[in-house]
Amino acid sequence: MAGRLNPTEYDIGELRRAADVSGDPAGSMGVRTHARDVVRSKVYEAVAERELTAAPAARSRPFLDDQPSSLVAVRTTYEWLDFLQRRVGDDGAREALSYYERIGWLSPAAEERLRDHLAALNPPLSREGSLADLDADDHRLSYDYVTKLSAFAARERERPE
Amino acid sequence: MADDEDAETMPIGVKLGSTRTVLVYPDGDDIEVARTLTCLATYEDALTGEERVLYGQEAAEEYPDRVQFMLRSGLPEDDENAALAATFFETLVDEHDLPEDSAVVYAIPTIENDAGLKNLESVVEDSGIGDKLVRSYPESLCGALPALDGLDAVDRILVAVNLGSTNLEACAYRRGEQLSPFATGGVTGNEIDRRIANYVEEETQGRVNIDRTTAREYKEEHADFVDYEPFTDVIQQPGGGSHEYTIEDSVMDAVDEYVDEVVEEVANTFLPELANDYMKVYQLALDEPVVLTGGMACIPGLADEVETRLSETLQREVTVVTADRPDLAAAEGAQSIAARLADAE
Repeated sequence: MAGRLNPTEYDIGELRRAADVSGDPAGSMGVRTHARDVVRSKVYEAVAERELTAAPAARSRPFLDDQPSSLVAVRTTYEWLDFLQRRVGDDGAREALSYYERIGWLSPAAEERLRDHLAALNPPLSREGSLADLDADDHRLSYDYVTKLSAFAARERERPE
Repeated sequence: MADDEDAETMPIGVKLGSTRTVLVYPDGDDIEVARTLTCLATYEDALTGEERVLYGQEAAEEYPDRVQFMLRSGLPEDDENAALAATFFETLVDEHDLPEDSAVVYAIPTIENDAGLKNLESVVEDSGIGDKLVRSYPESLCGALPALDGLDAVDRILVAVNLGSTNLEACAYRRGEQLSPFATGGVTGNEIDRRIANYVEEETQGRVNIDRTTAREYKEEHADFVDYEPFTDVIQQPGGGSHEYTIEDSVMDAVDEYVDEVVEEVANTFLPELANDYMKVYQLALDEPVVLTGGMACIPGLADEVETRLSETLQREVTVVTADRPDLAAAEGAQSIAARLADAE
């Protein structure tokens, strides 16, 4: 009974099924968040910061060549793609990735892998847009994600096998 | 009323509020809404000597000397209040003939109060409804659903702000997931009632003292950001005779300060915390309407005032919306969830 009445501990999966909403309950990664997850989120941020300071971000184009595979990197990747998708929809997000490849933020291989990840996400309801709908703040945020991911990738390359 | 011949589970939405309780349930093809003050009074039946229970407006009007509001803090704080709340809720359920075979969703404030939640459990257990299932969801989420696309809003990113009697709550939701929940007991409808009472005393140079119930009634009947008009009232003097007075500023001064305080908490405490934890959610959420729920959101024009002042504070355009009846929205949203859960069972 206690779990049923604590309003911070509701079952997101059940709520989403009730709402007839398809897809993963917690957005991209199936992570359930309530009040305590704020702390967890800060832990995640701390791990990301440590990774960033331990390995310098790429300084030459393409900034992101390899797709990093650590858990924190994958989560960051999904966060970024989820952001693009929610901002400008599936097509707009693909357009944005192509654009970032053209201007040298992404290598062709990195762009292709990101497109694969994008295809694995659920397109949000009734969100349509294009590259032109992204403003300077959005691109700044994307650049921040690219920098983070390139740092994760560099860090993974430096690690002994 | 429940239909005895209807074998289907009845989906019921419940908001047990500190000031008002709302029940929403189906009655044939219609949706029935029962709204009452969360209070009760007991009295002895003159003929039988039995103890009788009165609740709601009737109790407040007929027994103002002994009426008890048992959820003053939002949840029953102790055993005594839990017992009173159980009696109140059972009486309410009986009165509306709600069946045991029901799926009940409670809209509950997300305040950290384990003892209060435990006491609420005993109230719910004794209520006689919810045999099929009992669930609870945050009041701000339930209240946001009727203001947006109903249950489809679960798939959106949204910010909901609940303007309650005992708490101000704000929370972002990402596809149903609760992010950065925030609550404060410092900006509340009850505090505004207290302030109105003080301001009335000042405005009448100490000649008029009103209690908080009267202050709440002034607020509910007269506060209006669109078309406020000064109003007059009369008090009986202790030594006989009456005194008529006009209220020009007391009510609107108090609710005006309230809007400033809401905007301050949302813009400078809740949203920075959200941006810090979930940067992209913050960015996306403010592209969507911010939903106001709760009793204070019923004040005409308040949502527009919040929109204007929040936009000024954040230096960006923000849209603020409410349900048609923000005071009923939490129970309505809860009922819509209950209906789907009952279907899925």
